[in-house]
Amino acid sequence: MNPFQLQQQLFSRRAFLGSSAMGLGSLALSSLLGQQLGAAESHGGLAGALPAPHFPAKAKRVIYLHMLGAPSQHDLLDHKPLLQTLDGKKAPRSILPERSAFLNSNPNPPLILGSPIRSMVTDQFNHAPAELLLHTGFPVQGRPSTGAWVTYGLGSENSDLPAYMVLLSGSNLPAGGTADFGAGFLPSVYQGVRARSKGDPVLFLSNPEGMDRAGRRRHLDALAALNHETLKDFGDPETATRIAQYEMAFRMQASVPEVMDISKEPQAVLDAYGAKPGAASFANNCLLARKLCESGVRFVQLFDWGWDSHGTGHHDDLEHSLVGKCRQTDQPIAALLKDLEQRGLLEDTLVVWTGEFGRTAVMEARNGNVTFKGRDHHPGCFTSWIAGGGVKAGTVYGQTDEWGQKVVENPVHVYDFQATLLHLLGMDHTRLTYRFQGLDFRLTNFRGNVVKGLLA
Amino acid sequence: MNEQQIKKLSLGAACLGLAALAAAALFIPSEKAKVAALAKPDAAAAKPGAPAVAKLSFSRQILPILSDKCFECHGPDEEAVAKSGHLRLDVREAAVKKKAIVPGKPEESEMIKRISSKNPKQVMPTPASHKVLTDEHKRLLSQWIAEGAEYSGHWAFAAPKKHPLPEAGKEWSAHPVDRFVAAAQEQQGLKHAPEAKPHELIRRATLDLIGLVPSPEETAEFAKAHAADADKAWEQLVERLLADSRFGERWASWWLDMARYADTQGFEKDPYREAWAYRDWVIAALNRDLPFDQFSTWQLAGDLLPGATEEQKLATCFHRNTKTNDEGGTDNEEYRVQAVIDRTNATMQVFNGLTWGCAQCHTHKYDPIKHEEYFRLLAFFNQTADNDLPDDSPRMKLKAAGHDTSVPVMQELPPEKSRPTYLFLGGSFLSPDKKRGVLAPGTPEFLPAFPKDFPQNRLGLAQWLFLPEQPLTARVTVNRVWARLFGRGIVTSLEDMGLQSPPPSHPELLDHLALSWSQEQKWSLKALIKTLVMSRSYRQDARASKELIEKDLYNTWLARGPRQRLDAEAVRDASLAAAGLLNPKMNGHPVLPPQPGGVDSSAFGGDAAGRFRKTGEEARRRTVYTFIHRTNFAAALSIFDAPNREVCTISRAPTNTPLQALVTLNDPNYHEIAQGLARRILAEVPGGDDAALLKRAALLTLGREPAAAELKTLGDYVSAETTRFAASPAEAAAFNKAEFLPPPPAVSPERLAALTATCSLLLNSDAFLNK
Repeated sequence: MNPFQLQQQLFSRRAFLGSSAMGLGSLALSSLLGQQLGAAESHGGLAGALPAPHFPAKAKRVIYLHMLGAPSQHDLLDHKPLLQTLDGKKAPRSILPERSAFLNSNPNPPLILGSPIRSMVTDQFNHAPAELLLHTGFPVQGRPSTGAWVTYGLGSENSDLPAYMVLLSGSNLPAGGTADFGAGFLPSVYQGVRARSKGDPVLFLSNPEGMDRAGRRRHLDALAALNHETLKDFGDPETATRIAQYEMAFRMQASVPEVMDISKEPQAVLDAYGAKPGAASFANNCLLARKLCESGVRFVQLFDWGWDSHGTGHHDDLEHSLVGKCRQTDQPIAALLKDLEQRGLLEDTLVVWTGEFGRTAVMEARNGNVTFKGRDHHPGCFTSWIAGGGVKAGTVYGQTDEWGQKVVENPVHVYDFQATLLHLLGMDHTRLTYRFQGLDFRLTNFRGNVVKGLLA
Repeated sequence: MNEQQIKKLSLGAACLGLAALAAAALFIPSEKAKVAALAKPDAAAAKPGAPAVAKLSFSRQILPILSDKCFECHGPDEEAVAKSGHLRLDVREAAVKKKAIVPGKPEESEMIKRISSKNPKQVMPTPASHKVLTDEHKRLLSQWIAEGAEYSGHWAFAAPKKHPLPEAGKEWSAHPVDRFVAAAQEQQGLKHAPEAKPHELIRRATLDLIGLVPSPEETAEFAKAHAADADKAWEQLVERLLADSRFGERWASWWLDMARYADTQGFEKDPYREAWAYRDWVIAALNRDLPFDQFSTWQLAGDLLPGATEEQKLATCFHRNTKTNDEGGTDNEEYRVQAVIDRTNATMQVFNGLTWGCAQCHTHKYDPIKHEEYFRLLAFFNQTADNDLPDDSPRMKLKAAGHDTSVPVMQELPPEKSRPTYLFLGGSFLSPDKKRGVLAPGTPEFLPAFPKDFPQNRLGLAQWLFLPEQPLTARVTVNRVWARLFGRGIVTSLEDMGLQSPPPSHPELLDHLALSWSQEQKWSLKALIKTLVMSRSYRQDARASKELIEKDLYNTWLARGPRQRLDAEAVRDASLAAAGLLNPKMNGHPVLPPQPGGVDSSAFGGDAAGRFRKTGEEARRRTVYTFIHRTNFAAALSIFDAPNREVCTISRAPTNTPLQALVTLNDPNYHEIAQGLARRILAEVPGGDDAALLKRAALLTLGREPAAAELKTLGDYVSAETTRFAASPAEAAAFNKAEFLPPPPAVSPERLAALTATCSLLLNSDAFLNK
């Protein structure tokens, strides 16, 4: 699809929905990209480029949990008894990676829950490029993120909230920056909207002090009257869209703070997640992810910083830091999955848990320092898990060698992972394309195969 | 297109190409069907006395189909061809030899058999490719083979030609732009619009040329001069705006998107990068109208010019705006190579509109760019001393805007340290093709030959890009400048003029402009811009009837004036200017206005913007000076489609979204602007009643007095809100709180608050937010 075809596609959907404010037969691209489809369609928000999914979707929405920094597979979901017997011994030359960020073994297993893919593979071993590859299919900035592709394909399920929202915890942005949830060359309307834990939950939601909601209503009524004059005078369809967008903004001003407010959740729910109203935490974000999904947000992206266990100190080692991160995330993730299941949401919500690469079997011991135990970056294998809509439950997919360094069965490259994700959402990754610079680009960068073994 | 126009079309053979072109550009199904009918050999023959239908144009009608539907497997990429029956369709001889094409005999041609096959194992394109040929495509291919299957090159790879000025539109305008526009309109059954009103004209020109709104006084003065002599007044206005130093500030953003200029290095830590002197240089160079060939040559190779001046070296920062990856554990060589790749791709994208990057991993699938040619071009850029170091060395110290500063610059390695360039198998720097050996610098075969006496370095490359016979260089930039003024390009893909680009709406006009710009105007950007805005096409009224919108939604045929949403910079700058708050200080350190939600830090990083965070007047500088933090880009700009400058961006996709509404309604910076505007009108119309104040506010923002209905809306609103705020003094006080504005003239708090809210109405109106 190129910008023209996108416009045509969206337009033909619109055409069935009756006329816009002026009875205009068609709307400009930017209108369609930000449009309110109106009452004629069951939902109202952002339109998707596909008239219908390529095939029946098993999942309608995604909660994507990215543990930034890359959690150690050995110490979590890919337990290697061999390493336990060799702890502290010199590593054989044969398992040392050809390229690595730092560099050397210790298994020390605290645990979390899931249905893991132990055979994930990436091409990149530095954070920013690896994150970009995972989210955008390309290790350099400039391409749309997975959430952008999904909302581009499917559009929004609601008319009061953004279709793609991003929640951060652990105080840092991802190393790949906003490009990890950006729209790349897709129109910016498909970029992830960052929710904030302090101040406005979405930027600029609050009216200036001194103007309440009724005041804003009167203000927007007067504005609409002015804009209708302009529309009559100039006949520009964009004006009709602008009027509608100011109305959506008004609805968002009420719906976003409401959905982002966890203080009204029952204490039992807060306790289950370990969430505390007002805090900036991964636990709060897990609860918010459920609430956003329930309200029709298509793609909820969580980033949690602090999984880069090099062992250069107390703050990033396996015995203290990693254990701490597990304590912060274990309970909320379990609560999220149970909560989704109890509410009947898990059957059509896909939950993804992953890092951007794996870690070495050998200890890093940077500058010969062995006080703290840590592992270096490792692209050759890592562990992710997916759960929910359309996923075969309770499988362990793929195997690594006895060192946890190389995939020996069913490798799943990040492209395959992306293709599978889109497949579960009803989209063929080879057909979800956008024409840019004369080329039909896609998330999987002309690679990728759906991993059938993961499908229910 | 109605029946009559179709008749008209079938009379003139030359018209046919245009009609098909029109349909191709519009993709309107009903149009398409009619044009397909026209393309049938018997369509014209059916009309008694009509001349035979013209032959199809390979370049405009057939090549786009072959490229889009066939070349991925049967095109220039030998590896793909080897897996596809060794059949190439981009070379006639090869296609004929394999009997895919039997000239004159579509029914014997394997291509036609395959594209018509119902057998999924036989049919082309293969079902797995998801490429589909429409019946119209099939008919065109068949007709083309019947006509002899003649090949010619892609239109944009042949040098522009001179075309006689069309007779059309003679009574309307002597301006060449208008004559070509009128000729196309005639084909479309459309007619030009009358001239826009004087206040609309000055607003459009002021926004387009200097990125601001005109003052009420400027508007009044222009209206007066326009009444006396419209053409003269317009020319004087255009000349005044082009001579204004704010012209450079406006047009710099356009160039800086392509130069990917930013104030941080990119990637993980994303620390501050001092390079603002380059941004200032771009502004100054645009202001003094440094001819585009020199402007470009200095940026690509200023350091290699004989006796290179400080300024010429400073310009080379253009290619040092690439990202530096300072993440712990990265391989500097990997990211040095990545920067060189970025420079190679950006050069060809910016100056030639080619998707050069596609050939990094394999021979280009559509354009005739061989894999080896990619690396020969890269070899020009592979000899610089920079090496992905955290200090961005080498840098040049200089004095700029009264400060000692420095910028990263290009610096060639001494000959004894020169780097060998290899082809990277699969595009990976870990797999140099040593068997093929070291590659000498070189340019692609399908473009003009690299002169033997040119130096084999970046300077030679720059000179080569500006050879008079270069087909793309002038066309590509003319097309982009056109798009900035008219809202869309003559070729709509501003970043690509290769085989996959949509055909130009006005091919002869594009050629005309490219030739006159590169020859008569000697690459003067100001002269080019003046030519375009002096046209009557640009000066048309932007009002559109329902019928016109239905017929020409995107204004491809220019039967009305341009009307577009202000871009990210202009929204903010024009708002500040209308409120009288814009700080006109030019140049110097970047400035980060107050950002919501406090300080966000990038991963591992500190606060890169640190000392550049400003408030009050110091923050109210033009947006071109805003601190560009790549991994944490200012939200209000990003929401209005400005790119974060991580990669070379040729065009921004304009959107119209609720988040934009939230910015201009609620961002504290915009609330301050509304407050400032209210204070300004109170000061400028002392003792004025509501109507007088509102008229002033409308003049400052919209450049005109409010219409009666608008004045009623505004007047009712301001009086109702005055009453309400009077009943809630605490709310009025909160609404009026302005830490960084001087105290207002004597006015009651409720009136100030109500006027502020009313000013916000004007600043959020569609009439303000569009040019």
